[in-house]
Amino acid sequence: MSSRWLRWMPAAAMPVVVAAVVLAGPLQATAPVSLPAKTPEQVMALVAGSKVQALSGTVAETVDLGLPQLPAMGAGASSDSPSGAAMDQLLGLLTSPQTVRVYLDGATNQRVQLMNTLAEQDVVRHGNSVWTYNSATNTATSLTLPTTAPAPYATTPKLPGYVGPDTLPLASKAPMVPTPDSPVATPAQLAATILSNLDPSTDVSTGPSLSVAGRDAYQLLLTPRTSATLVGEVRIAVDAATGLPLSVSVQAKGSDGVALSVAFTSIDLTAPPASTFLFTPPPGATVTQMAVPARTSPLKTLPATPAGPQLPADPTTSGTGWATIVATPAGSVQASLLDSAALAQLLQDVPGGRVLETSLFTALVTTDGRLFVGAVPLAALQAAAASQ
Amino acid sequence: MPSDPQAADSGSPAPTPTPADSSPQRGTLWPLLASELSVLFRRRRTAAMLATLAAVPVLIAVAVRLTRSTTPGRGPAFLDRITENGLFVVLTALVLCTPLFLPLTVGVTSGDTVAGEAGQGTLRYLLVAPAGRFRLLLVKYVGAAVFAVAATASVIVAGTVAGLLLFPVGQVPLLSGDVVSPWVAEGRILLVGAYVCVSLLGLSAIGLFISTLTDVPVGAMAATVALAIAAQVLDALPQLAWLHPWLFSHYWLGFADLLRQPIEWGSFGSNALLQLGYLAVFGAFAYGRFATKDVLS
Repeated sequence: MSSRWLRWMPAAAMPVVVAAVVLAGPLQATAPVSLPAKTPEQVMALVAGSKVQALSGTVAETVDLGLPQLPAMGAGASSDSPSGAAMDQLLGLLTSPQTVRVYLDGATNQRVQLMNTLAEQDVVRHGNSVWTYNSATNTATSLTLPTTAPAPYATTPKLPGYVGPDTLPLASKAPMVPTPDSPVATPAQLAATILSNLDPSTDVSTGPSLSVAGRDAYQLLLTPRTSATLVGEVRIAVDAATGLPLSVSVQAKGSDGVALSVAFTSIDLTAPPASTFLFTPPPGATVTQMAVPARTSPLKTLPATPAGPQLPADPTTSGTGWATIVATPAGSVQASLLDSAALAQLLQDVPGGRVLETSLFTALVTTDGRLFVGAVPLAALQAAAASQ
Repeated sequence: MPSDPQAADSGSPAPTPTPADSSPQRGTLWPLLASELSVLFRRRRTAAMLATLAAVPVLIAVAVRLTRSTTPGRGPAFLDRITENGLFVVLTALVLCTPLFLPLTVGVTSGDTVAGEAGQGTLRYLLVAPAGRFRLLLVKYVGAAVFAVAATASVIVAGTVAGLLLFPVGQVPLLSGDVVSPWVAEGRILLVGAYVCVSLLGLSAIGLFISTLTDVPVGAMAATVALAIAAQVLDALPQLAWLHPWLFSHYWLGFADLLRQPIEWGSFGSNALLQLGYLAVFGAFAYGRFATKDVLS
């Protein structure tokens, strides 16, 4: 009898061993990190003084905005119209996790790879020439930036028209005109945007130090002082050695879970090989030449970036700080933009229009085609819509 | 209860039935493995399964060659590239085979391992030989794993040949848009093949365990294949996101990461670890069950 039980021993032991190995990993990751104490101002100065010019790394983006996730299966369900397809892609960014590889070298050498299952989207910038490539459709887009374009901050490759939650409120990151296939933002981009827009409406403090992508990091906690916004807290992990922001996560008010997180899962601060930034479209690819949109002309599709640098003159804002509401004039939302089958699942009909409600932001499209977006509850948008 | 008379059959009466204590009798392992493999690959069923798998890329290649019209973004991944480059036949075939055909054949082979012998009444004769139950199980598993390699190789070889014969082969574009030479691309395809083989190890272990539970081989095969499909269905439900990294099928289509520039090794490592975990757990279950089983037929 005893030998009989003995023979079951491996079967009993093996799950325990596997469980132990599995549990040991996260325990190591959450081990406390001890760094010399710094004030929030010192950490922000560390970020501002960051001189990271070159890096290659993998960025994981997770979103939990309280939106229904669209099933992974059923590839044929995508919309047929181009704007609908672009909207589907945008919603994909908003509802499902993404993995992005980022390569930077200096201010003008950038490559971003959005890795999908069995497909990939690339944006490659070398000097003033920008290529985008989508392997699923085998299409490439070429774009030459004007030489007068201001050189972007080294770690914020602000490619024209990239889609990503780069600013708060995160509302309505619609596909901008130039490059429909652009990937998401890096933690450094996000953090730079957030920190550059800081004002007294935000309480800045430091949290416990942590380890991100194997590097010790300080943690900045940004808390809106107003109660009118949906944003509860923004956490930024700042690499202690270089001042490079390694992760940004946003919590919704009254929620413990992370609504949005963009974090390096691995990072290497050495320069990537120069060939990384040289792109030639593969034979057989459909190549489109794109003109750079003039900065002054209003974008043809909406909604626009709230408070972004490429903000056209059209939208108006109301409210201040975190509770800012961005509004566009009547007729600015084309009906075709709402054709997306995926979007139809997310929009709800409310008095006065249709609304996209998430845990972090709300977007209201009124019946006369006006768009109201803000990191505020629906009632605030409805009030703004009624008052204009 | 007196000690189990069947336990004496195992030939390794040592109280610690770990893999290590079987090593002194290694000499008996290779003949057993050789006979297992020769029985496996001389079976008409095995040949038929390998031929079916080889037919998948050939059918794809012929169909694309005859119709000549493919729209990017429609149909399985890589299908639209075949007309430009024959090497994409292999990749399209692997995209099609990995979720269904390969698990199907691996499920049949691994589900048959022990249950098949038990159903035919030959298991007791195998156990009469001084090989030991652990070693017999090991040989059965290696047999199933070798079949998984052969199945993948069958798809790759048939796909490469069909692609080379029917389509031009030139510079191969990777997912990142970068272009590599056909030889580098063939190397990447072999890496993808290795990835797919590793992907099937966990399922083989599950099949082996289920096979020790029953004397009806068809039941074990069906249960293994059903599990492979169930795992993929669960993997497609976003509500079960917490479960996804634990499903043995989760990384199956991750072989595309080997087609990026530079290669993304992360999914290869995660997949290998996951399959190793399944192999360890279900291998241990299979041993527990098989070593204590009353073999009556």
